[in-house]
Amino acid sequence: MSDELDEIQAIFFEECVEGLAAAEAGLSAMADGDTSAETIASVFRAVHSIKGGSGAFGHAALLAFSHRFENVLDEVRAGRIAASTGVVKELLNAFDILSDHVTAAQEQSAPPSDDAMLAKLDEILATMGASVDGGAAPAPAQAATQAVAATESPAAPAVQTEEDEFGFTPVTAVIEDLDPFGFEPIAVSLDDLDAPVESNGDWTVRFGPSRDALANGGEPILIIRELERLGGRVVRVDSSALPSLREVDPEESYFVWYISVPGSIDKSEINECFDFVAPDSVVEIERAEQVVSGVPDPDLDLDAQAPEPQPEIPVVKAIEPPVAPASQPPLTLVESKPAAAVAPSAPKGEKGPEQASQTIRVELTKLDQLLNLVGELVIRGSILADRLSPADQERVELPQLSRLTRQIQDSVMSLRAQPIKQAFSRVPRMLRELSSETGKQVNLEVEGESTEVDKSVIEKIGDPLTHMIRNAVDHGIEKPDERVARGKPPCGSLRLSAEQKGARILVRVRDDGRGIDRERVRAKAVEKGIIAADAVLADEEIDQLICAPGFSTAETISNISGRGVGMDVVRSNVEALGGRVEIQSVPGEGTTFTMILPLTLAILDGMVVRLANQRFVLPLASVVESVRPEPGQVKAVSPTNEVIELRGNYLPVRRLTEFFGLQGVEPYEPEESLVIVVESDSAGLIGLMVDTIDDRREVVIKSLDQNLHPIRGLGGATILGDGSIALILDVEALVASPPPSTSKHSLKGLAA
Amino acid sequence: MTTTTDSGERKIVTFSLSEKTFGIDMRALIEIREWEEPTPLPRVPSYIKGVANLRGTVIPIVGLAERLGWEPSVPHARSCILVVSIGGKQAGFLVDEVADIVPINDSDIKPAPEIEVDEKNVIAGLVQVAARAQENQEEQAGTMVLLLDLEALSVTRQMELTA
Repeated sequence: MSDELDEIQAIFFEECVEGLAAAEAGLSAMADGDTSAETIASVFRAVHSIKGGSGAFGHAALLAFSHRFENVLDEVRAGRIAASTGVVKELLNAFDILSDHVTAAQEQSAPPSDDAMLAKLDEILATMGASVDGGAAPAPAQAATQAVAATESPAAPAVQTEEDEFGFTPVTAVIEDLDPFGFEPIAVSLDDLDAPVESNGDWTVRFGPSRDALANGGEPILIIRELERLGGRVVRVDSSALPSLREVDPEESYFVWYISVPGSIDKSEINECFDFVAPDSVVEIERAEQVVSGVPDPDLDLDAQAPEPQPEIPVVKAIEPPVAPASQPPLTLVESKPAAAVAPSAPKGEKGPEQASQTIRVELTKLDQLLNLVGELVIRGSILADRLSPADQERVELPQLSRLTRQIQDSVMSLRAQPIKQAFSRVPRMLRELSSETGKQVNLEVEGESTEVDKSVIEKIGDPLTHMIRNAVDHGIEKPDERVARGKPPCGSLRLSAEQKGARILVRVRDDGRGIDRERVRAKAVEKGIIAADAVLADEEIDQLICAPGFSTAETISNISGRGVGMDVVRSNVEALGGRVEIQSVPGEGTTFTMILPLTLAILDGMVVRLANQRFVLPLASVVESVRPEPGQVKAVSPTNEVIELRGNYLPVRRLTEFFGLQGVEPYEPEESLVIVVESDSAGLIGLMVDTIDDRREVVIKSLDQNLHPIRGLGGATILGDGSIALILDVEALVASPPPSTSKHSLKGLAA
Repeated sequence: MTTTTDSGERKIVTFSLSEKTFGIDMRALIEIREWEEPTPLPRVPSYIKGVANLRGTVIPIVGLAERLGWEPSVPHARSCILVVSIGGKQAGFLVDEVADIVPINDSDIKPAPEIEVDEKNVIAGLVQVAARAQENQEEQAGTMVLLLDLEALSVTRQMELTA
């Protein structure tokens, strides 16, 4: 039981992570000036669902904070608080604390201190209300601002808009609607400012489902039943839009229902009934007044005080809160709703942009299992093909089967691919924290975040990315005054980009800071004993020194970087992934760090070669060319070392058969072999001598250390089409290893 | 032999290697396969015969006789690979012939005398099992089975020791 709950709770936290990512994306867009309703709504929705889940699971602190956060967002969404730079900045800060709350709830640790933030949020709420409204004491800020919107809003234009949008004409309905309540327009006295609050009139709900709502199965009777459950009753149905029978479109929505709900029901409860109604439906909730002893409703005052309304307001306005004004002539009572303004205090359920990214969660191990099985299917398929007679092989079924199998394999592969956005998502927050710690201003640009990479790669580049960005901000980008002095804009720029290039993925972090100070790096490296004092190094080699273990030039060891582990970690992590790090730096203009990573850790484009009659796979990414040596092209330069002469250059050559100590084949002349020139990071171009090349194919990498242990020179194993195993060569390890010693038996039995 | 108590009773798979009978715990056994020449691995101890494909997973094949210090067994028609799971890792053991599955009682296991080996004792104990009527079986009274300690035989473990 509790396990089950844990499981659900785990899903909640996963959703929180997604929600936080969505909220952050939205807030960042807002900070960049995109304050469209859609963006703001996405942030609101994300925070709202976190709030909802936290309540359900009893995370009180998270619930409390997200609730207050949501309140402010709600106001921003409704346009009552302008999404100004200052406000968005506070929202981002609040977001950071929200993330901390989620983490705290997940780890069951102490929640972060949020008092200051809460006070700030409340302040935003309070001040914005006051600034908009003339000071309507009894009504909360939103009521006041709402009143502004509602006041005198000319119903006719609004209805007009609606008519245009939805194709029905509720104008007459609007007016007739109020008749059952015996409403008469009242002259309002502006002096009656202190009249007691009296607003327990029944609600009038006007509900006109849109065509879309019906198309989506939004059965109106269900909504009406919900309202009836609250004590509502249908007072009338406006069927004026109904055309003559022959013109009736069976899919169109013609009716508008008027439901009266007792005034004792909270408005939010009514709103909830419409949670899942298509957003372009007409949903209006109004409080009808009971005009008691001639005392005008206090809300009138709000109206009276409110500034002139703008005719276009209804298009962006949400539904009134309980104390909404109701004293205007009946026309204004019914406020026409824009398409998007359904139930502001409730999430829109499954509707809206979120619909586009419906996902299910699958354990990675299950995917791997599926991948294995599909691989087996491919193998069995080709074995079957081999057993069939050539005539049968020609038949259409077999190629069809293999094509299908191939498609399944591709699909399974793509299941593991994820947009690199996941790894980039934590960068904005990190930058905000870095900026506040260092006092440097950094503007983040992100490019190519939808590039898809294997899940396992994404999981592993997080740390290197963190270090690279910290490094760029701490060492690269200058302080604002320093930047201005150098003629740069005060705000530094950090560019994060990802792109796919062949079977590799390039992740770049580029800053426009001061670049690498090669003099200092060199001096430091000499001081730390990393290089000799008289070493002659090219600029690139000096740049690479910052990746050397224990190297740091920061004068003071800051919180951020300078402990001398950062770039070392980057390099070792990236190399562990089969990638490499490149550094380009122009003094005074900036530095670019590039992580070059394999697209996937699961498949490899490989060249199948033979060594002593055994098949091996050479990663195609590192192959430059293959050469059949002419007599005399390969020369021995020492008893154990050979070189190949290639277009005037001499490249070292390794005999792989000897490297692996493979038996059974007598040493042969180089002319009988093939030399495959590979490019390696550590040794540049190098020739590898193999017997023959068999094939070129994509192979699924199976790790050897899953059941055995890593073997030097091998990157893993794969299963070929006939079910046999081929070993995958690890080019870096092959060229980095010392040349085979004179006794090849010493290699045999040497552990990794 | 008490068979009523479930605690203490277990099943072992017995097999022969160089004329001797060994046993491993039945629970570790995944499957028994026919001998098939595995893909040799370079630069590994000679007792690792190579790797084989077990339904998409690459598993090492270990010449058990060689691993235990006996003469390497020469694969023949009745040679088998016992695929076992040791601590979550899978490995195949080349054995000469699989004999039987027998229930034994923990109390029947006699501790193995200290055998002079260069590593942790791979023999977990000795147990006498009644021989079934089998051809080529010389002893009629019973067979001494050497129970193997799979943990000690783990391929990865051995690597850690030599590395």
